[in-house]
Amino acid sequence: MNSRERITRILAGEKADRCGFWLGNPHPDSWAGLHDYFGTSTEEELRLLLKDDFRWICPWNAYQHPEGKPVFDMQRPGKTLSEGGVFADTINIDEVESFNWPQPEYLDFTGYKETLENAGDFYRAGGLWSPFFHEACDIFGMENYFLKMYTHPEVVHAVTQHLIDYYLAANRLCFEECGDLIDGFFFGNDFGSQHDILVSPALFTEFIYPYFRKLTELGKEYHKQIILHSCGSIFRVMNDLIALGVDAFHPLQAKAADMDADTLKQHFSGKVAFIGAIDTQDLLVNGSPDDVIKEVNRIKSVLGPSVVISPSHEALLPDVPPRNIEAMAKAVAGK
Amino acid sequence: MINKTFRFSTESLLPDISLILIEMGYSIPLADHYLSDLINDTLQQVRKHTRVQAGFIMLPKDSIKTQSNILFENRLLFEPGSIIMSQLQNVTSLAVFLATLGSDFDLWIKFVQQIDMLQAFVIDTIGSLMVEKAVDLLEEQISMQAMIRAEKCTNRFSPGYCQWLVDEQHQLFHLLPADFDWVKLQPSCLMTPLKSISGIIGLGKNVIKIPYHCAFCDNKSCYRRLKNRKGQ
Amino acid sequence: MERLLFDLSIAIERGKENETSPYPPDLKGKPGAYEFTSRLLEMNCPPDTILKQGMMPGMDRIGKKFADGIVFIPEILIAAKAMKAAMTLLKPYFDNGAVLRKGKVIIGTVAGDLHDIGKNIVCMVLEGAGWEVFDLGVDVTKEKFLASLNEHPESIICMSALLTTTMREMEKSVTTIKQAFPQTKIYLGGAPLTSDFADKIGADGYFPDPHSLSKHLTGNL
Repeated sequence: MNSRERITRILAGEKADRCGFWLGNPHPDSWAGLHDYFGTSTEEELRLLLKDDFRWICPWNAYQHPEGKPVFDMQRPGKTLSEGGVFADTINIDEVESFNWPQPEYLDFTGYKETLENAGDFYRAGGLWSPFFHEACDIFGMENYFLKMYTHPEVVHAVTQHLIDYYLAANRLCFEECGDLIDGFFFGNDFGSQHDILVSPALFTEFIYPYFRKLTELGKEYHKQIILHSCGSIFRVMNDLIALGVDAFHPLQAKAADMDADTLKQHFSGKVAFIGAIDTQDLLVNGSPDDVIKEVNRIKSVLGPSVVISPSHEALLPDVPPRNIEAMAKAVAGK
Repeated sequence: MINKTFRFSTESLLPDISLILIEMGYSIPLADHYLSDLINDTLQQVRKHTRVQAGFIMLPKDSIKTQSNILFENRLLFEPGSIIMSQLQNVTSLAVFLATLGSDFDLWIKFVQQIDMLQAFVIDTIGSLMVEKAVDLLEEQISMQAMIRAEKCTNRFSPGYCQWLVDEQHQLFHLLPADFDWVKLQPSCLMTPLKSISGIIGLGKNVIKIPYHCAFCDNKSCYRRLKNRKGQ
Repeated sequence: MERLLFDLSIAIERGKENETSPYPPDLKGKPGAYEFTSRLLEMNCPPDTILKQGMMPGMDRIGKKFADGIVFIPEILIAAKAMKAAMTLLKPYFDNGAVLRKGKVIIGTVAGDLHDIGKNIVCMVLEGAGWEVFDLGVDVTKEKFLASLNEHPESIICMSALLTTTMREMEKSVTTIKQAFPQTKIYLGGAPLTSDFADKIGADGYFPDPHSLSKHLTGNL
């Protein structure tokens, strides 16, 4: 069974020869230390060494505006979550309509397709990252976005509709072009904090689900497995998200409320697959390799076989000792 | 009771030019340039004349019973006829919806009618597609609300279609809360503004949604049937 | 008067800013926090009473509901918005000393970290609980904390971090501040933190949500 078959089966809830493994997507600052420790020189070399089953291949550079404009020209003066973008003070939907929304015709997937063609026998998680919730946060400023859900819901709907329209058109083009080269539609939205979901279930129902469902439906139309990335505690909405078509959740932030493996197993076992679960808030940073091996074995016994072992946040920071990553990878294959 | 109102943006309702042509009875390659230009010009002006208002209520869980008719809290509410009732099996609650493009849109059609009948027809067609689209968006919201109540939805039905007598608009409007005041029902059951749609969607745990099909109904002159034929 | 104070607390809890604000829909056209506060001032209600018996109970209730998982971030934000509207009317009384705040709090997200939503909510809840808050923003160096503390030496310090890598920065900041101001209390917040960590680096406590912090600060007065 090759990696591609293994992960496909795990995400489909079928039997595989072992649990899967994904190194995650280490932060740019972490690579030098990793290569130094493992004696590797390229990302792919390290993934092969660690027997990584999963490749996240995202068309980050597909949008090529003739004047080099970004996909969403949000005009944010800073980077913090509360920093408002172009719609920070918008209360009128006409302003939303006159914004320079992205044009799918500037998308070019030829380079992307080439990368996929050379991806080898590994599971390919792809499609556009499509974080419409985050983009709404950025374009309004997170606090403004949440407030407008109450004070100017029509503005929030108008913006979300534009965001999702772009992602639907862009992903459709992507799936048309790349077809079966992509196995899973992997897209992301951080819906949770350490304690709970960011907005109430009622606001999810009105402002997130209708748009979210369009992405999952599009993925299903092209026979992709649906993998949702969300940081934080999303326990309260996981049943809904499963009903909306999610096949696997990533990264299962282990220390967030109700996101521990035992709770997930108790509530969602057999309904959905899991990718992640190895704590990055304490264990991988501060633990010993023995601690890591113990935890990987525990997660395998609790969530296996429908689990792809991976850090509970994919962007491994440079404070994670490479010996712990080595221990995590080795424990996946071991008994 | 859930009560939600929306002001969808005009932009999110604007139809594709190809859809407008099909709705007007043209197949796309046959469309001449004059008509395409006219449609494009008209689309540019739509926003000025449109004020979308839409909303729905959801009756409490288990407040509805269906047999040969629809009972609300054990009293007769609607008699939609056998075609619709066959689709409302196992319904235990209803969503009642209303959407309109606003009265300016009507005035716009009236005004243009005096100058250019063809453009008035284009505007009318665009309006019909837009208000249908607004109801599509409402239907999405309703289906999400149903999902978190662990219920499923039927198709949508409106008085005046599929043998459901238009008189029952009165009962339907009775169910709507006072703040749904953007559409008035005339004694004749005509809604003003004209570009408005009212209707119901059945909800229930064991509801089965049957894909919409004109074979349900025997109305040979219904616009949906004519549209389907044209689209082929 | 008592009725009006109660109405003010409800307006804040429910996020009814003023008469024209569209939310909540069931209070459309009705007076909000701004109107209730100005009526109370017209009736010569002491501004201190307005703060303590009108505004603070409203923010306290919504803060508790947030800690209990009954409401979420948007509901806290909209309550804070209503509170701010009322606060603008009380500002002159803060300035002339007619209303005394509970004390001063200096707050910031530590150097290297840009995450501000949690920190901002703590600011709102503490302001609503009667504290004067100096928000230093994000990416705050230990020097900036010290500079602000030199200006307001009686303050309490609150620090936030989301990333494990910036938790280390907290340790340095705490050590530096404690060296210069051994009496200053330092409290920590942020997703990956724990009470053990706060103990280890010499801070005075960790709080998982704004309400528990606010309760602790008030209890220590």
